[in-house]
Amino acid sequence: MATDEYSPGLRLSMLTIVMVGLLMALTSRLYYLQVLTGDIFEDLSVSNRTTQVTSEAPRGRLLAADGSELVRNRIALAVSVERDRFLDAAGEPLDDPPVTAAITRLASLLDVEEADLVESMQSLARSVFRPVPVAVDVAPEVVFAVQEHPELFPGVVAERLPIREYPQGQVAAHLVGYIGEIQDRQLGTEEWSGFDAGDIIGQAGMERVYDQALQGTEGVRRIEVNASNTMVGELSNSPPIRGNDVVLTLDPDLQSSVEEILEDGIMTARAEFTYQLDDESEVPVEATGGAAIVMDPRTGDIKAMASYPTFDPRGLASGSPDYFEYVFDNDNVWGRPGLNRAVGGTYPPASVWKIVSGLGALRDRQAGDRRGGITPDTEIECPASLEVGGREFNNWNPKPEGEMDLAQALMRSCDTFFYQLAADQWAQERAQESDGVPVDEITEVYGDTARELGFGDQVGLDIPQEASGVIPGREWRLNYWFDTKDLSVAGGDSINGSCTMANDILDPEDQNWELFRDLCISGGIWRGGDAVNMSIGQGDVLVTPLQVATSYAGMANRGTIMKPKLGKEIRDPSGDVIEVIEPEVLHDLQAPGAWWDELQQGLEDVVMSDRGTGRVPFEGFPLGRYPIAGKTGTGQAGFNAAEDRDNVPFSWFASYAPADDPEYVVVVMIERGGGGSQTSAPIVRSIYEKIFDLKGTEIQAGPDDVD
Amino acid sequence: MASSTYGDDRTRRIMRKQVQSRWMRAYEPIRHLDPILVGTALLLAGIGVALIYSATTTRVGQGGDPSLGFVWRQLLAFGLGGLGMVVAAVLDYRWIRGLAPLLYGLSIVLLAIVLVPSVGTLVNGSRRWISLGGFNLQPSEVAKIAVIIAIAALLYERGGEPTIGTLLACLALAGIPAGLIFLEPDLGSAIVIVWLLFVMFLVGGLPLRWLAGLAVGGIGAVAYAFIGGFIKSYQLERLTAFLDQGNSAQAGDALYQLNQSMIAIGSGQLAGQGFRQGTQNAAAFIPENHTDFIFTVVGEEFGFVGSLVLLALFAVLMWRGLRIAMIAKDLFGSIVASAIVGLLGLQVFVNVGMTIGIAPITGIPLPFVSYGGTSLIMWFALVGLLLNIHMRRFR
Repeated sequence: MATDEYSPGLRLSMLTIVMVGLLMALTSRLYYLQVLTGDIFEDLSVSNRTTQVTSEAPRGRLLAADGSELVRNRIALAVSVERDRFLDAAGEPLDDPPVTAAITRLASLLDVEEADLVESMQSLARSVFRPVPVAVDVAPEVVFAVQEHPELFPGVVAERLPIREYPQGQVAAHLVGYIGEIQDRQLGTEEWSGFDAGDIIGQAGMERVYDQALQGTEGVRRIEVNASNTMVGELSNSPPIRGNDVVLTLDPDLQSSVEEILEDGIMTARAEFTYQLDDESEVPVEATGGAAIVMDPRTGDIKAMASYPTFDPRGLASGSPDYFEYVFDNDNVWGRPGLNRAVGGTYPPASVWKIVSGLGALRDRQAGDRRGGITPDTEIECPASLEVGGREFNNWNPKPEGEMDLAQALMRSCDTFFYQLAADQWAQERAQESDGVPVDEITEVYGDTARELGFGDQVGLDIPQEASGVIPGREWRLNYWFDTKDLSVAGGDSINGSCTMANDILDPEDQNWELFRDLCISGGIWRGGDAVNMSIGQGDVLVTPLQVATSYAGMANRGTIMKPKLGKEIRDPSGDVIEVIEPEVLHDLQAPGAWWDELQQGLEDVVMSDRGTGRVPFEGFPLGRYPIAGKTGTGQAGFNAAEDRDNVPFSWFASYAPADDPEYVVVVMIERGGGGSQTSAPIVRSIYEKIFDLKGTEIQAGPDDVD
Repeated sequence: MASSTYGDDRTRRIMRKQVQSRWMRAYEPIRHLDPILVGTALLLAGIGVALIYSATTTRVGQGGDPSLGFVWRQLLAFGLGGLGMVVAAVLDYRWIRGLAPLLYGLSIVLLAIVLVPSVGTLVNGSRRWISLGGFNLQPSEVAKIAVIIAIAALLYERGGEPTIGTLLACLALAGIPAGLIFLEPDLGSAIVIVWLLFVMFLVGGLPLRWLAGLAVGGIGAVAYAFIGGFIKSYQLERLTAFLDQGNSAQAGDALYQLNQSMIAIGSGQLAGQGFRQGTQNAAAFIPENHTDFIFTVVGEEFGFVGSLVLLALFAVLMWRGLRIAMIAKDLFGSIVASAIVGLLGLQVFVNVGMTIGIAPITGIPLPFVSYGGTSLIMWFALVGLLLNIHMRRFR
């Protein structure tokens, strides 16, 4: 029978121990899961079964100063699909006969290719709980077809989507900007923190600057879902809140008129005008583009701002890649409609710069103990030409004009008047340089005056992509020479690539070799000729039309320079003003009243004196009632007739009115537009006629050979 | 002597007869039922029906009256199970022992038939069920009973002194059904058969060093099966998912199921969410929560307390079963009773363990509780068998 080593009782005890062990293991694990860490699993179970669905809030509107709509939302009929009914988790169409049939039917209903339809289902990164729009602005019949036959179109819904609409068409296209999906390079940046892929943001203009105000508050719906992500209940629902409206300073009526006037002026110039070169030959005026600004000098409010050529924001809103390419093609000087020339284009200012030089010359006398510069009463010669550093610098007028004071020099736009002053100041600075004063410690009176008037840096208009322009000087020249002397020759600029030219390209026998060698060795020196060129807004000076408008507004205010602005106030959806964008002083330029009187006299005489360079285009204008102060400018990009032939000068007219109590600053610049009084001044006059509500009068273009 | 005390012979004869018949009646099997065993089994099956009701009718977001189909079918199996328990208890277990070859043969035939494609119903890639007009028979469940009885009978004949020949015979008896079940494939049930063999060898008197040798050989065989590629990849994934917890990069379906299961059970916390209030259950996050994963309903809706109560009821069943193994009249009864306890313990451990991440995921149901007719009827039949052994411990 049973041996010593076999005891059923012992064996059963062993089995009992195993069973107890198994039950203990289960109990301790359950204790750990349910008692010790149960709250973690509770949280997991909540997040397991709830999900958030956000709905886009309509953007706020952009309004003109009078409250009329520049940009608003329109409700568009759209056909959308519930993506998970058509696509698998990998985004590929489900291989299921009813789904394939529905895609075919939907494609023929919407009149698109099946492949395109599938692509539009795939393209947008959106929540699976939100239907994906596959066709926007569909005919009502299409909506009826979808709604009446759900059995033919499973998972297809008709929706009403908010779409950006521009009730005034192309008006202020450069200013309102456009919206678009956030781009990869914007995602995760500080500016756009809190935005996700697929979010719509302002990409340019006011849409971008005031994006934060315009963005509404997303609607958030917390729903309960089951394991297959089907909604089974709603936990909370906060509806979307529309974004705030941004009111701009623009006068919509004036804005559209200014755009028309600018375009008409450019068309007239292209069709009719020629420009006489120094060698007496004539070239047609190309007028590749232009800008016009109307600003209130007292507040800095931009009343109108136009840039030609312009574009249609609806074209960009539609997302057409071809149109996008057309708008932002920066290689074509005839096009570039995307460039807002009023703030983003830089040009040689030519004679409109003379208020800077005049103010600089007045300060020069005050600053030093020497007898440099001028007082308002100083009279100096206006010869036909002046020799500086061994080179002849001509006045625009080949005849000498005799002695004149600053006001007369502005009226006659006498170049040689300013040449003398600039050469004298340069010689004084040069003496300091020779004494070993470091370049960055030499006071450059003209450059500093320009900076105080708002040149050389962004003036801070609330719009992106404002250009800074260039105020040349010793330091700038040295850096520029150092940076570019060894570049490959890009043409245009003499310093650019001078060492490459002298060392690698030109033969020492070549007639220009010595010039390039000199530039290569000593091109970093700020020469007298540079200072002379700068004094009449030529040479290396580059400004934006906006900077010119800002400085003339400062002139009109007798030294108080207002920061230009486009935003007026922000209103909540019910129309209550929640934020007023207050005017800001950019700079307060202190100067004796006699100086302002002298400059003012000069600018008034340009338009209102018989000998003024801007007189002709304003003949017949009621200057008694609406006195205008202004300055013509003809900015040469080239140095001689041959270069001018390729590049007709930029035409400027900067002005303010009424001259005795300025309310408006009007600046017009036409690229390759010829003479300032020829092309720009008539445009300015038309704008004033619009502003002061005058009947259209016959305007005579000024002469092309007057600066 | 003392004829005066006990009267005459006739009187004595009558008295002896009376005493004898009182003894006879005292040892009458029907007087030795085990009410705790039966009561616990009925309670567990009742709980099972309630849990199946919760698992199959609580569906948020679905309109219409919930279908009670699963509940009715389980109740029908409950009834048939009660009948099976009575039949298994009434027939003398020693007579049943004689039927061992027949039972065993029948189960082998069923296991073979189910592999025939036209007979076995293909579910999730395995043929485990034979469809019998609305009722699905699971031959592997029948085979468990057959193997218990056949091997117990063999070991009983050796009277606690098994030889190498007995050992090999037992291995063959267990190996054939285990192999057929493996082909279905139903890895879990095949492993259960192997486990049963071990339990019966232990109680049946196999020398402990033989057992140790078998254990080493068994582990070697399992290792060979893994390395040799006999285990299919989905089986491997299910088996090893619980070892990969936290490694969500590799999360396959099995790990998803395990994570959801642990979330449901963990979120029950101490006292549970309440009957039919479990959100994970209602939102269908756990597949098969009325069959293999029914314990998640207990864990989520009744918490740690409810889980302990359920485990305690299984502990009561095991206690009664081990007690019966102790007091059984013969070795056959002891072996059968211990095998039933071993089967119960393993199934509870593997089933509950897989829902809480300490056992591999296999298709082993929770005894008495999981939805499934064959399993429920089999477990009542096994309780009947325990009762049978208990009742007849005196004669």
